[in-house]
This record gives sequence, C-alpha cells and structure tokens, in this order.
Amino acid sequence: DDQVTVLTGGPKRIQCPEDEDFMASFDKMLAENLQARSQEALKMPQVEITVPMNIKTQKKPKPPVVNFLGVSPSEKEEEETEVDESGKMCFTLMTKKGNKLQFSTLNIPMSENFASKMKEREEAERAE
Amino acid sequence: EEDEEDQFYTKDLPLHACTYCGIHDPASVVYCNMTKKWFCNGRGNTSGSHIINHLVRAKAKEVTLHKDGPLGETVLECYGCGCRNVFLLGFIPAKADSVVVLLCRQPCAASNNLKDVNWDPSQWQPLIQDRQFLSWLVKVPSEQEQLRARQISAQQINKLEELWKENPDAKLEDLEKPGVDEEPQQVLLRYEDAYQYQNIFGPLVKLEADYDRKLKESQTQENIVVRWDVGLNKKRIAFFHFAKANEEMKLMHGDELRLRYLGDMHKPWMGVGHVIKIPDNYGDEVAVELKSNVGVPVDCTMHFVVDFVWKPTSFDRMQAALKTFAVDETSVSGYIYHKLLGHEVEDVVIKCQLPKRFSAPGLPELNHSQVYAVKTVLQKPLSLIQGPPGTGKTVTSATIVYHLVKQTGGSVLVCAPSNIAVDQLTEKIHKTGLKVVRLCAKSREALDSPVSFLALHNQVRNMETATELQKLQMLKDETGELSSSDEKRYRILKKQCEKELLQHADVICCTAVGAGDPRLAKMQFRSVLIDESTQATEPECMIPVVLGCRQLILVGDHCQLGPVVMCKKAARAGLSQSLFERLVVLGIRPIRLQVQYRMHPALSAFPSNIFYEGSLQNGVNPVERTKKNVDFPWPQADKPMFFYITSGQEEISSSGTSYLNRTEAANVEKIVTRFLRSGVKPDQIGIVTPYEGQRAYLVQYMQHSGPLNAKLYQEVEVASVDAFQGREKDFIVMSSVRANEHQGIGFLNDPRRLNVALTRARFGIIIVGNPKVLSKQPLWNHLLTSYKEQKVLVEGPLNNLKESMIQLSKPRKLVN
Ligand SMILES: [Zn+2]
Ligand SMILES: [Zn+2]
Ligand SMILES: [Zn+2]
Repeated sequence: DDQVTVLTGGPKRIQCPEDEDFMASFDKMLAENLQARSQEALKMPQVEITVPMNIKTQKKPKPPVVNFLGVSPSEKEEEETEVDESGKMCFTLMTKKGNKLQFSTLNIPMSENFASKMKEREEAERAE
Repeated sequence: EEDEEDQFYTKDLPLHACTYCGIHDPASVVYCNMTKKWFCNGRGNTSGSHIINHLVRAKAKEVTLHKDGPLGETVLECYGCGCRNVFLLGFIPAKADSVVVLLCRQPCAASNNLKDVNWDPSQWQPLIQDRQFLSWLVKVPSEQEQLRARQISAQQINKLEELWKENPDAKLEDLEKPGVDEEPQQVLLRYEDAYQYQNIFGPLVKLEADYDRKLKESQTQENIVVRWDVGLNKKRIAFFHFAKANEEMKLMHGDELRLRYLGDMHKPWMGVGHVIKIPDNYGDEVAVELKSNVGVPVDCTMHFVVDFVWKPTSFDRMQAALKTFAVDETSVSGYIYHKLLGHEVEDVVIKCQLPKRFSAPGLPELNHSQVYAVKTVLQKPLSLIQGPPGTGKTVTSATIVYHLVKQTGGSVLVCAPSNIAVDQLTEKIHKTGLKVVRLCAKSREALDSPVSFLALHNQVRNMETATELQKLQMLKDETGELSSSDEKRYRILKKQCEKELLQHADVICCTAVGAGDPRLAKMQFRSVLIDESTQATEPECMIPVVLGCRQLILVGDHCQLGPVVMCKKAARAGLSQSLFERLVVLGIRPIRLQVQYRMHPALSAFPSNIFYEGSLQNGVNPVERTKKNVDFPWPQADKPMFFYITSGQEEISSSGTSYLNRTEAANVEKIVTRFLRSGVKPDQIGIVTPYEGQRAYLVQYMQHSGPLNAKLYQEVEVASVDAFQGREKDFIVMSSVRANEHQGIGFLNDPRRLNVALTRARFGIIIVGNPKVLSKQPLWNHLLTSYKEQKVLVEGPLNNLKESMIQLSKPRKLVN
C-alpha cells in the first residue's frame, strides 16, 4: 500500500567529471582485461557442456526451484514454456558447484533476444 | 528498575546493504570478493550501477550473489574454465532448451568445442551491459527504492573510494564531519535523503546534549542542609534549599539528583533520587525521593552535597530516531518520507468512510472550522493543524483521534512535548470512551496527575486478572523490597501485563521523548498525532514518527513559543525551528482553527491582528466574558485591559543572573489585592513574569507585604510565560520587568512569547511596565500605540487611574 509518486521523476544521471572519468575507466578496464586474456593463450578445457535430460523435460518449474543440488526435478509432462503475466519466461541457469551441477531458475524478460527466439521456436514446433 | 534502557533499541542496516546507498534487497545486491563490501545494482544518479562503480574504482573483478537472492549464494564464474572475472563473463543460451550457462568471452565462448548441436556461441552476451549487471541476473532496485535510499553522487563515491584506500572502514559520514571548532552545518529546507537529514541533525542534537550535560554537571552544590521525611510509599524524602537558582537551569519534577554525605558523623554515603517538589509558592524547598532506603544517614542534616545526574536518554532517543528514519524503510511510509524531506510528491487521498457525525461522544460539539479540520485530516496522510489560543485545539485533536481509531481499528499514538499537554489530551480522549493508556517515564511514576488512573503503571496495579502480580506488589509495598527471586518474578509478570495493556489499547499517550521508551520499541503505529508539535525540535518530533507512521497529524501554532534549545550554537544552526514550521515554509498550508472561546473580544483583537492576519473570530461575547460583581477600576468600562505605567529601577537579583524590579512588584501586589478583595478566586489569577528572580521576589513580597491573608497570595500562580503556554486564567497580570535604558527588553523581545503572554487571560489583562523602554521595540510600540488609542495606557494610583500623555514614536510597519 506504500505507493508514492515523486513528482521530480526517477533518479536521473547527474553529469560531472567524476562520472565521465568512471565511464572512461570502465571502457579501459574492459579492454585491458580482454587483451590480457588473449595474450594468456589459454586453452578451453576439454569439457563438453551437455544439457542433462531431466532439465530438457522440465520446461516450467513451478514453483520456482532454487538451488537444488543434483536432485532430479519432479517428473512433469512436457509442456510449452510459458510466458508469465509480467512478460517473463522461465530459464534454467546451469552452474557448477565443485563437481556438482546446480540449477537455478531465472525469469528472463521477453525483451531479451534469446528469450523471444526461444518462444518463436517453440511456437513453430507446435505448428508442425 | 529505572535503568533498563542500556539495551537500547537501535536499528542498523543489514551487513549486505549497499555501502553507497543502503539498499539491501538480497536480490539487488552483489558482494565484492576483494574489498568484502556489498553494493547494489542500481545506478542512482551515476552512469553505472553502484557495484560497477565500485569494481571499476577499486579495480576488483570477482563477485558473489546473496544467499537469499533468487540464485542463492553463487560466485559468478565461467562454466568452462572457472574464470571469475566479471568483465569477461557472459552467457549463452542452449539452442533447443531454455537453459543458459555462464561462459567467459576468451577462450571458452570462442572455442570450437561449442559448435555442437546444443549451443550457439554467436549468441554470447556479456553479463555487464550498459555498466550494470543484467537485470535478470541481479535485480535493479525500483525507482521508488532508489529515491528512498541514500542519494550519493559520483563525487562522493570517488572520495569514499579514496578514503577506503587508507581506511577500509571509513563511512560516508566521515567525508562531511566538521572539525571540533567549526560551526555546525545549518539545517536545510529540503534534504536529499534521510542520511543527509541525520548528518545535519545528529551533530546539533549532540551539541545540545553536551551543553545540557556541562550545565547539569556544573550545578553541584555544597554545604546543603537536609531535612528528612518519609513518603506515603515508605520511601525516604530529602528536603533542602538550593542556594543558587540559575535562570537557565530549570529544575523539574522527575529530574534525578545525587545526594552525598561528606561529614564525619556517619560513614560515607551516596544516594540517588527523583525531584518530587520544586520551589513554588508554597516554599522554596526542593524535595527528592530516594530510590533506596538502605543506609540513608537520616540522623545527619549537615554536610551534604547535591549533584545533578545527567541523563542522556532523551538525546539518545533522538539520535536513534534519526538513524531509524535513514536506515529502516518501514519506519515511515514513502509518502511521509519524501514529504518530510521536502520532495515534491503527488498528493494522496486516504480512502475512508467519513463519519456522519463529526463530534465525538463525550466531547463538545465542534464548530465549522473544527469540523473542517477533522474532515480534512482524516483523508490526508500528512496534515498540519494550527490552533491559535483558545480555539479548541485539544478537543479537535481528541476528536480526530477518536475517528482514527474507529476508522483504522488500530491503535493511535498521541504525543506532545510536555507532560502537561499529554495529560490534557489524555483526559479528553478518555472522555470519548476509547481505551487509553498513558505511558509515563519511570522517573515520573510517583507524581500525581489528573489522569494518573490511566497511567500504565497504575493500570498494571489495578489489573484484576493478574493475581500473582498483585500479591507480589502488596508485599513490595508493605516491606519496601522483595527477595531477589521474587523481584525477578515480579518484573517478568509486570512486563507481561504492560505488554498486554499496551497491545489492547486504542490510544497510547506519552511525551514525544516517551515514544522512544523501550516498551514501545517493537510496536508499530500507523497513525500518529503530535500536539504542540511547534514546541518540539525536529529530532524530538521524529521519535514518535519513526514507529511506522503512515498518517501523521501535527498540531500546534508556529505563532506561539517554539522549542527550547539551550545551546546557542545549535539554536543558531536551526535546531530551534520545529518540523511544523519547516513544513509550513515548504508550502504545506496548515488548517487553521478560527474561532476563539477564551478571551474577551477586546483582548483578542490585538493578537488576532498582529499574529493571525485578523482571522480570529470570537466565539464568546463581552457579556459572557464580564465577571459579575467584580468591582475593578478598569479605565474603560467596556475594555477589561490596561497598561499600567511603572518606572521602577531594575536590579540584578541575588542569584546574580536574573532581573527584578521592586516597584513593579509592589504594583502587581496592589492589583492582585484589588482582585482578591472584589471576590476573584486566587487560583484564577495568574502573574506572568519573565525572570526567575522576579518570580521569587513577587511570591515573597506578596506574602509578606500584602494586606490580606498570606494563604490567599500563596494560591496565586506566578510563573514564566513558558509555564503558562497551553493554559488560561481568568485574569492575567504581566510584569514586564526590563526597564533598563541601555539594554534591550530581552526575554519579551520574541513576538511569539508576547503572543502567548497576551492570550492567557479570559476576563482581563493588566500589563505593568515602563513604556519608554518597551516602545523602542517595534512590536511593543504597536501594542502600546494600540493601548493608547483605546485610552487604556494609564498611570497614577489604582483607584484614580489617568490616561497617560506620554508621546510614543510612530510605529514602524511590522514585517513578519
Ligand atoms: Zn547502491
Ligand atoms: Zn572460460
Ligand atoms: Zn524523495
């Protein structure tokens, strides 16, 4: 119930030399880090990144599952990835914690290119 | 038992709050693994989010997400190589599944291994875009959250990061700390955020606290002679005279004093107690009720020393309120937060069912402007009510409280700066039939008041259901002390009862400082009404406000006395301006109550014209305000007022600091005697005098030199203007005292104080003083000119008053 409309609008960027410096430093840091990385001549470790089968079938975790470690998600019928009311689509972020795989749910806004592509793709599949 | 406030309740930001702005939603914050500090993913007013601002400036690269965020405690790292440099990290989505992984740009995302059926490296995107973490990875705080947080600029961020290189624990406040000798920062009209607010008011409260402590500590008095007595509650009472009464040092009921015995008739002893009597008409003795009867040297009377025990409680509570306001976003609603800081906010109307009848049961019918005030206030989250003298402020406030309880069903917190004002309001609210609890400071529990029966400690005593507590209470009352196990049990039971009573109350009434009582610490009050808010400093006012306020009503009158600030430095910096006043300057129009029921219309005319733009209407007529059978020589029959010219010499009183005027005192006595002879009751006469020296002298002079029985004079109240604020008497005699050509008129120079002095009387007022000196001051010049025009500027003996022919200079136009 605590809604308030501040008439001066949202937070606005205040231009100042310190902020300009920050932007320049950011670009510099990005470029330097990338360059250093290229010179390290690292090799990609030979690991194949595969999407586990249980994740493939689980399209829409409900309720959102957080941090289950290697636990196989509940059996579910294959269904279309749905877009919720706020225009977001459920994705799973796959990370490694030690040797274990970890899956967490991400709500990706449809404004993200890859999310809308996924949606299109699914619709096309269904039409076939 | 009184000293349980050590475990004082203060709020702190959680450790994971953004070190820049304080935002602490776990979904929005990121931990910098190198500097071990948290930052949010909001930009504030800079071009990158706070975490990115920090990483770049600190040259840090690795981060961890919060354990309570949607992804849990996750170190962001490359799925392929484990690289943790967030400037290199990005993600790719799987081709056919809604799965993403984090991968570094070099070499993992560029590797050939990926070019299988599952992944599409061409879709790789960095985690940091537009100098902010992707919003679906780390939530961006809402605009509303960001506006409510601390507003930090890129300059401040820079300075802070520089400071951290030398001192990693440095705080933003450290950037602006003034040196010891510097003048404090002035108060502002508008504040960026509650941190700036705290940074400005905190040091002012500190100044005032230091001043108060030094003043109290300098008041030690030696060679005190004590007279011992025992109170009804079996506690020891020490009576003694205080040699010097410092004008600034106002001894008050409930103050804590320490008594020490230095003689050799008894082993060394020291005891602490509360003041239960101060010098008044009935005697100049001070009485202190000791906390413990153990070892009191009651056979000794000489060689005592008295010290003031300084209590930081009220100042600590102000500081705690300032802090809570800054760090706890549940302390007040967003609307009130921004309004109090002077930000422009879209108006909000509270949807509520307006009552059919605006007058509350048990209280007088309301007039038009009062109904308007009640109606308007109920629909607004923040309102100011200005109640000029005699306009029914208390009834209006009590009526508002009644409707708030009926409407919200929750409990309402009602405060005022002074105990007298709280008691008056408590009494009125009780009449409406609501369940009221009056919460008193523990040091004042022994003092009697008209609403004692509503006081929490008395309600606990009278709780019939608490039989075990009653038994222990009886035992305690009889024997004075309990065994330690009984005492422990007693306290637990008492706490339980207190909690129950507070939670079931419709209304809790206490002083503004009292709202910081630990017994209220865990409670939330949606609606808060502060009466006489114009007499409280801002930090004082904030104590009740930060208990969860969503609807705030400030009642007061900025044309009457403001808050008392003793430290000149703090006063100059603006601590003596009330919150009410600042909100008025910010453009919030107070709802003014316009009909006065106190003064004879002849008495209200001048204050109305000078202080209220002539807007005061009279709810009483001259007949109602003329005392039948009181034979008094008013120079104009239809005007019960005059200025009585007296040009006596002013002297420094024996205490060395305040002024007295013997001729004026003699004239005041003659007037009082005349009133008493014509049948006016002594308790209906008030004498207003600006100085403590004159007060003491007047009391003594009337009782010794007045022709009537000394007891009659004893009942005539003699006090300062400040002591009369909020009250009324049938007749007021004002001794203006200053008659020195070379000095200003000091105390009465403040227009607001003059307003209060002139508006206490219902039936008649007489001012005694020297017009030559007073007329130099523009406001007094106006007053004297007005009296002269009405032919009530007079001199001569009381039974033969003559219009004075004194020439006054033309009054200058007054600028408010
Ligand atoms: Zn932040
Ligand atoms: Zn990698
Ligand atoms: Zn704001």
